[in-house]
Amino acid sequence: MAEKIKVAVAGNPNVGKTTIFNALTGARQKIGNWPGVTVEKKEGTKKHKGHVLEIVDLPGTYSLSAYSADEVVARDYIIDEKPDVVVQVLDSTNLERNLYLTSQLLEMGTNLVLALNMSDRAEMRGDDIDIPRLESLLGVSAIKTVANEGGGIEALLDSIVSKTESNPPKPHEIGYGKTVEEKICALEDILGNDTELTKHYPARWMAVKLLEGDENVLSKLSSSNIEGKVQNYLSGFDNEEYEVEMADKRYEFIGALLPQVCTTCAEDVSPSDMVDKVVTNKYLGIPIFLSLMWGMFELTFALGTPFMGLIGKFFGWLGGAVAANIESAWLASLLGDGIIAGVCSVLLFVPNIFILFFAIALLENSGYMARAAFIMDKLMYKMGLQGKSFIPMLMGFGCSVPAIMATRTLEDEKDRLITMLVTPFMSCGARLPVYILLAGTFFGREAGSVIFGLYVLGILVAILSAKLFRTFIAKGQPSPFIMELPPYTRPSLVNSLLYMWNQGYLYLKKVGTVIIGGVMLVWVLAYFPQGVEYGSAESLIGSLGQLIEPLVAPLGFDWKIAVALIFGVVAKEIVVGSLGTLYGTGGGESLSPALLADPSFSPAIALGLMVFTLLYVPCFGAVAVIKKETGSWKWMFFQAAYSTAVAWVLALVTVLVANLVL
Amino acid sequence: MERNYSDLKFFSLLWGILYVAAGLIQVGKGVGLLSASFLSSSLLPAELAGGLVLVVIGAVFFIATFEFSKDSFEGSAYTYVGILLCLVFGTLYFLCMVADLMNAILAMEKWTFVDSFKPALYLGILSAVVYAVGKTGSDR
Amino acid sequence: MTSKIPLSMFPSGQACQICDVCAGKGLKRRLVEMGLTPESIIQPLGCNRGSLLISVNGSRYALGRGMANKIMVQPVYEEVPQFG
Repeated sequence: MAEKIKVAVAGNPNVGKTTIFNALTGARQKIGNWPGVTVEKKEGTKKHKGHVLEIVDLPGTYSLSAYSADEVVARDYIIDEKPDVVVQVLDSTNLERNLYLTSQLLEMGTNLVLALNMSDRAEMRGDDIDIPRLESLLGVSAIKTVANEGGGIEALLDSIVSKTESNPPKPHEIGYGKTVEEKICALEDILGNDTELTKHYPARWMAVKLLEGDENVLSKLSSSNIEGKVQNYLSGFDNEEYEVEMADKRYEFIGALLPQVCTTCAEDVSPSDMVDKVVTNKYLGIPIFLSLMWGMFELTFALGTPFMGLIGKFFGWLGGAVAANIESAWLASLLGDGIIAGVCSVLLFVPNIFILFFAIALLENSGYMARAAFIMDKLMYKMGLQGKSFIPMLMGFGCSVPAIMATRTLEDEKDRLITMLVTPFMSCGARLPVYILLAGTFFGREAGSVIFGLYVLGILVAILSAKLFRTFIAKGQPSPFIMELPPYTRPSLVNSLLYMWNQGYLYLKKVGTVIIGGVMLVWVLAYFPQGVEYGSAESLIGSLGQLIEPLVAPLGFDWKIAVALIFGVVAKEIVVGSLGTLYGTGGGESLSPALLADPSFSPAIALGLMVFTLLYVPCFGAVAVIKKETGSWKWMFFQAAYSTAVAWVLALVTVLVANLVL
Repeated sequence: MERNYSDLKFFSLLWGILYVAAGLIQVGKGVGLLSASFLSSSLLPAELAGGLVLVVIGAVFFIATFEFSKDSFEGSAYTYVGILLCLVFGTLYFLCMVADLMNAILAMEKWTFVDSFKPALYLGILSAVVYAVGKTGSDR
Repeated sequence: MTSKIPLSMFPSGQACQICDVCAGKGLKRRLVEMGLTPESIIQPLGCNRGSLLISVNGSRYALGRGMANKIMVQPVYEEVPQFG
């Protein structure tokens, strides 16, 4: 009975695609990566009228011309997986540009449902869209939606289901003019010789793409025996001139269509523009941005504290219960000193990390993030990057790994390389536990400001490093900056919570795997050889720590810190986790007094340790993603060595200055 | 319309002065230029970063006043964003107050309302009230 | 009178029309796909240290100075501004 329907959601960036996807699927989402590439893939299912819809969220793209990795992913999914229905989300206030993608989807012969989103906004300014006419002209279904308020979602679901019951459409044809059409026909003839290929891809679509000089389609031909013929034919003329012309023809098609289906009322200055006037003001832009950033961290710290207290109490109780009820001394030590102490000191910060992700989601969903890129463009340009690079860097506040993946939206290779190399300096959520523990312990009420200072330091180091790399490594100019600014919206609570949960869940998963493993290793090293005092200088870990202590001794770090830093390379939370394990404190709350009591710790050392943790070699995950995305070991090792060197020098300066001042 | 602008201009000027003054006092206390007991130690506590934020918000209102005095309609944009920032930071400090209260309950300590009643919070509440009044006024 | 000048040199605050983009084919097509089609009218909204904020066909875009240098524009015909 339950029939499965494969649905793909496509659309331009900033049209509310994610909101529609969330509204369609609810909270049942799965986040993974697209096979082969590290672009985030979101899937969800929905039962509707006896059908099971399997919905996939495609990356937001302006077109399907394979300009960036996102577009290739979206296109390959549609071509290879052949979803039963493609839902394209459109911004009703800007149909012209949105229909460009529609024209490409039609050309691919997809079964298309249009979700005319933000239709309230269009109606408010007096636009009138003739839906039946649009449907009949394009041979698609169209539904008006207001995703923010859940409007039109039921109708959209109905329309998806009924679309599968109708006959598949015949690919829509756009006339490209006589000269181009002749070439398309000739190419179609050649392609027709390979039936295997044309069974898989529409011949006309392939011909069009080949004429546009699409490398990706060309490579699909490589296994076919007609490749030579196609190459031969294409080399007979200069196809560069057709490329832009064909894009123009698509707009001509849209231009002819639009007046028949809608009347638009252009607006002069929207409320959104008024807000932009202020937040991008020459003098106020950066102060307002910094104020909001500071507010974000203040909130993260302040609101997280009571929850930390609760979690700390729970683990304190758990540790006590374990110590009281387990006979075997070594097992009690493994569970109490090792796992509970270590995991607790990391789990303690889950509330903070959730709040931080929530705040980032609010900034992103309200549309402010794009403005931040604009405000920073000039500064970024001076430092050898462009404004768009700032968005991955901001995302780096959450986690470096998705941030480095997000550099894929940068088209220029050099821009991208530099952005990837400096993004790990942006202080990620995993480093937050270290700051909260140390700043909270040694700086009390000033902790929020100290933490904010660390984030600013991270930004400064990232920007200065970018300048350095641009001058010496990837010489040249940053590529020209252009970005669409979505209109401001009131951020949706549900979407922000979903984002928070999805990202926070990954953090929890990390605690459950890598971090437990890490702290267990620390415990083993601290417990053995048999008979030594736990976590003392005579244990294995003590010898290891003393071995590397000379390296960090100039910074004033003792061997315990050295060990914590070594294990922190696996994941930076482990710096706290292993301190928890080494000091053998059952609950994270009591790690603070243990640190305060240790004479080898002082506010200056704590500050130095925070700076070092901020800057030194990023965690395994980030390093691995740098290797994967740059495709070279060289850059990976370079990044690791460079960041550690910078960390060492700046931590030394910090400790020296702090000793003078504090 | 004319009348409305002069109201807004006056409001922006007043709010600009309020926020900048409160911010500067907090910053002054934060860096030690003013004694902690200046005016009121509990209502205007020393806070460096938070004080700077108040100064930034005040600056938005001052620019609004400046734009209004040029008879530019853009002034209202600055006032609007200014109020928005007041509300954002008011909410933020409200959440901080809730957190303080929860902390005190957990640690079984005494919690005093005044300690958490920061300038950004009471000025934020004031802004919210004025905003609500102004909104119903303009709707009518 | 109707000479083409880069967007970055265009007197601020006035509407203008895109004539040409001096860039490689990739970037040229990219702009078209993003909605900056030839002959569209550009409404300037603001400027921040050399970066521009513009409105084209109802969408808002942020442009760096480098990009603004590549986009050639001319005044809109209906309201030709007076040049010296």
